[in-house]
Amino acid sequence: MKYTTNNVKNGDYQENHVIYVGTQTGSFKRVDIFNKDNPYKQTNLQNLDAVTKESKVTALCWADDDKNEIILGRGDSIIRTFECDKNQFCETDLSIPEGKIVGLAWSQDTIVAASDSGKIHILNDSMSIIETGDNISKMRQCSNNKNLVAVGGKDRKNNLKVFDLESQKQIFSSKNVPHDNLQLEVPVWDSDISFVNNSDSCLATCSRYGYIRFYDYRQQRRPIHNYTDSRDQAFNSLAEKDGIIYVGTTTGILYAFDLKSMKTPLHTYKGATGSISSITVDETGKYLFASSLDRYVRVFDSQKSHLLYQCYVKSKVSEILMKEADDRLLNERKESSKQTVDVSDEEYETMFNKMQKVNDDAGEPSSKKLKLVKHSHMKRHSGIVFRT
Amino acid sequence: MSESSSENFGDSDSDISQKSEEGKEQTKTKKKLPEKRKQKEPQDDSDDSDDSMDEKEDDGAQLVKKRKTLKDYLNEKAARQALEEAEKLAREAEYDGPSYPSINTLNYIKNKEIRHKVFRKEQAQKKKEDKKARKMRQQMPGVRSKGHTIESLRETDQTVVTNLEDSENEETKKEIELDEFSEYFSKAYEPKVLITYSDNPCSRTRGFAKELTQIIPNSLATTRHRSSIKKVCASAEREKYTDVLVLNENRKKVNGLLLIHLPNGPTAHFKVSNVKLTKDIKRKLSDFTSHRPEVILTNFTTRLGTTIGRMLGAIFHYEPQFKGRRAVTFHNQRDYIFFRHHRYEFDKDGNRVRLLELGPKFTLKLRSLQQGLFDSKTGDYEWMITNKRHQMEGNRRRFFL
Repeated sequence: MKYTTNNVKNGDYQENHVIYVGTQTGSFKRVDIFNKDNPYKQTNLQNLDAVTKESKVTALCWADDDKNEIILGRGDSIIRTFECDKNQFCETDLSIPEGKIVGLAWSQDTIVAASDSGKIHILNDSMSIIETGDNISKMRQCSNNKNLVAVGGKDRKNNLKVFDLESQKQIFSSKNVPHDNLQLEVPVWDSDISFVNNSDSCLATCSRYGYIRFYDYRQQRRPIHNYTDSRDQAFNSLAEKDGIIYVGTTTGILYAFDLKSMKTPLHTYKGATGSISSITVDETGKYLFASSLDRYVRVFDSQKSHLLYQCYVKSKVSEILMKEADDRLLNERKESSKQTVDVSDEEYETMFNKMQKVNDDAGEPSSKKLKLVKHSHMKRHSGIVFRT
Repeated sequence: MSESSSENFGDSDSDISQKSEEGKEQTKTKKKLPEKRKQKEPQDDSDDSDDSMDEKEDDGAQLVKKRKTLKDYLNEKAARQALEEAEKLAREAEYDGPSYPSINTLNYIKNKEIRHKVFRKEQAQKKKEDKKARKMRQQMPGVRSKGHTIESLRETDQTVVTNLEDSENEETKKEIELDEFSEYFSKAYEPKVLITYSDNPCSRTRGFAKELTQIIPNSLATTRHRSSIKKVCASAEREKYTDVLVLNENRKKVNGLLLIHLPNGPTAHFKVSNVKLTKDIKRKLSDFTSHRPEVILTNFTTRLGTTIGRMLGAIFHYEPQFKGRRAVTFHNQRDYIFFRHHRYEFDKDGNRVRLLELGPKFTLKLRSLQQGLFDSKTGDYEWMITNKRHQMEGNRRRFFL
């Protein structure tokens, strides 16, 4: 599809997807792609009056396996829970003492939040804290084993680490690649992490310093595969599905890499003009959802690498989550479409009412015409009947 | 046809009414012709082809009065043929048959002078008719069309901010309220601007920066002392500056402008072109007064455009001194932002205004807008056209600001 600034949807893309979008303004909204009449329909789920400068959404995460609850982390250290069934936020908000929330996890009915100051807060009765470093960019949970979280950040001190939430101990700490040919240390900044290959021990990281690394800590502490970009592009978001990782750059390009050989990108996804802030993949691995700082959310075909859907969401998007629309949402849509039919009937009535009025209260020129018509007895021949 | 002089070839198919005029013209040409004839006679006899000879014999009687050259005969014949063909075509057109391209009989007049004369006549006629039609159109009631420009045919942009009070634009309004410039627009601080240039700037660049300091109130132009932009930003923030302008030069010409809003960004990078200093437009810096100028920002429509407009507005003081009658304009047209600096003057009635351009003038074009302070490698770009220009500029009716 050619580059455009309009909302577009490809005719081939007919899946019932819903996206939840968290923005830098602080708003949280749902975009109904499944809605056939208006696939760009956005519902604001957060009261906009309550939004402040610090309350931007920085982390989003599903809070259960059925994808019915979302936990939302904000820049002002507040964690909120959103229930998709009731379509509203829980009344009680959690919070951590300080710092921007950079990652959320959920295990055994407790919420785990990481702040950018490097602390992982386990928000249960004991309120224990795990120290990980001092400048953390991201925390991610393992989908296979809910007790494992990985953190990564800027500088060597904040390299990639994996923690067990139950024992609250560090399982793995990565080792940097060897020094470069000038015997200087290679700088580290793990800007996004993901557990890959449905395993507890395989991890992929991407960096704003232009590298993508694949670790398997059963084998070694150093990365198994390393891709370094020759053009110094900064990678800031990452997602994985079936051995393929999707990486977004700060200049608005998305790449797909095969984890087996990270020599060159498999695919390049174009269309964004701003930094790719967040990526998710659907369960089949066929559709790729990307949000960008140019205020658009986009859906790509992951194999054919073309744009399927694009929607302007009015604020800079920081986080995105997707799910298949469930029956409740689909039914809701049907009901609403029925309602719209009723409304349109009323509109017609009002319209006809107005039409009469227009003839009655017509301005001078039309009244003159009316007189002329009468005078020449045109009323008889022409099909037009004027009400007097 | 036999009588006709070379004058009426072009007209032979067009107008009968003109014949009377042609008659007069004929007499004039007849007088001149014999002289020419004398020179051309030997040529004519030798070169005459068969068919032209036939015609000559037919007109024998008139030859004495008015002598025709071979050229005249050939032209005449060609014109006649063209007329016949045109008539034939016209006849065919009546029969609803397929249409053929009309033949321009002018092309068959071989004499250049005459052809031009006829052509000019036709053009004048056409012009007259056009003028008449235009006058008729103007007198017609109803809304007159403005015509269109590339801008009026602009590709519809989703992000155009029309009315902020609209319920649909509630979120955009909120975003604008919460952005980095909201403090400036609520008049919480007075802007203080640092202007700097590349290392070893040429005198023109320094002169340009000096002129900018005369325009932007509360600004200072200094050298960088070999420090990086990140360091410049840090020290500027320490010194309570609110914006940093960095001028880039190439081959002794200013070609880039970096505008950094402190303390939290954003950073905009512009291409600069067509720089004309005050001296180049024959003004002096002493023409400037020290009053704070008014700032006019026009045509920033899209969401990106509003951000850029707010950004450019935020380097000037929010309270202009109207006594100085200075105006600074940033006019956006087709994504090019034109900077102009004027002094205005009302006449005695207060109806008309006179403008005096003070200079400098230059043109900006946005290259990228980046979140946060300058960090070209690892920073998050909100919008970027570098390396994507061909992809994004596919349609010349698409504009981003």
